[in-house]
Amino acid sequence: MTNVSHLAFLSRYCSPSTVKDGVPRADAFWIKPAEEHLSANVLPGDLGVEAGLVQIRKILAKKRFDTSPNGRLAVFNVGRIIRHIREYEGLDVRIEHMPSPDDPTHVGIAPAERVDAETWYDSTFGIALALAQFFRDNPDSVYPAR
Amino acid sequence: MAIITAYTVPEAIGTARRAGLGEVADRLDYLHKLPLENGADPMDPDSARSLVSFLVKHHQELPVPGITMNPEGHVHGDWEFTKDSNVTAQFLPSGDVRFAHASRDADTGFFRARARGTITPDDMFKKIIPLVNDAI
Repeated sequence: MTNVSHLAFLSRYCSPSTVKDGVPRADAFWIKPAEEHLSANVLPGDLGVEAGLVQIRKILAKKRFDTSPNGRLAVFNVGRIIRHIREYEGLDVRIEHMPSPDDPTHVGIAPAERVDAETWYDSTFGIALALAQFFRDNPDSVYPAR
Repeated sequence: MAIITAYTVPEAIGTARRAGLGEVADRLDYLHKLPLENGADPMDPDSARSLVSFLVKHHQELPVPGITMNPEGHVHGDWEFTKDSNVTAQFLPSGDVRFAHASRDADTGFFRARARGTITPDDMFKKIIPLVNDAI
């Protein structure tokens, strides 16, 4: 696994249950206890956000990932979100490329250090809160899922 | 004091509606009926009951929160008291809440986590009511 460039943009699918007034809340970035990371997709680097999202929507549909018309794609720059989480939470995160045969754009976001379960749970809560705050402040970075 | 005895999500929704919290009831009903995507769990009735119980008890002092649901089926309430201060609370099936308060740093302009923990709903109310009063 390799770290994703700080210049790259990622998108995260946010289901309707996690969105209020068009903006994803902390639930949209929740890492379940059994999961190792928060999944996202890296946008193709040379297309721009809108065209990149067209590609991501195709990939999600092809791998039969459930999306809803009321869902959202939250888009963020890697370097900016790393700084934001550090500023908000005092936490370093790792963002790694984790391609799979049906999704070459898949990336995982997780606390930089793997620690005890309680600290991990608290850190992942912090990441979710920090990301939610980012999109409160940047609602223009939220796009339709379809 | 109201005694909450709802044990299913529809009963929790009904309790909210009977208490005059129609907006809360409608939102929970919407979330409850959404298709479950990508392995998400259905709404946890104890989590819904805990949220409704808290709001029935404190709806005269607190604004209606933004309500969402995480993939484990736990409901969250979000209160944005001002543009510079907000609270998120995850209502756990145990009856406790995972609470977090964040506010904007006056010097840097960045939001920062201020307080966090797993506490009782009554303790959370004590923590957030000063924030409501500050916002008035």
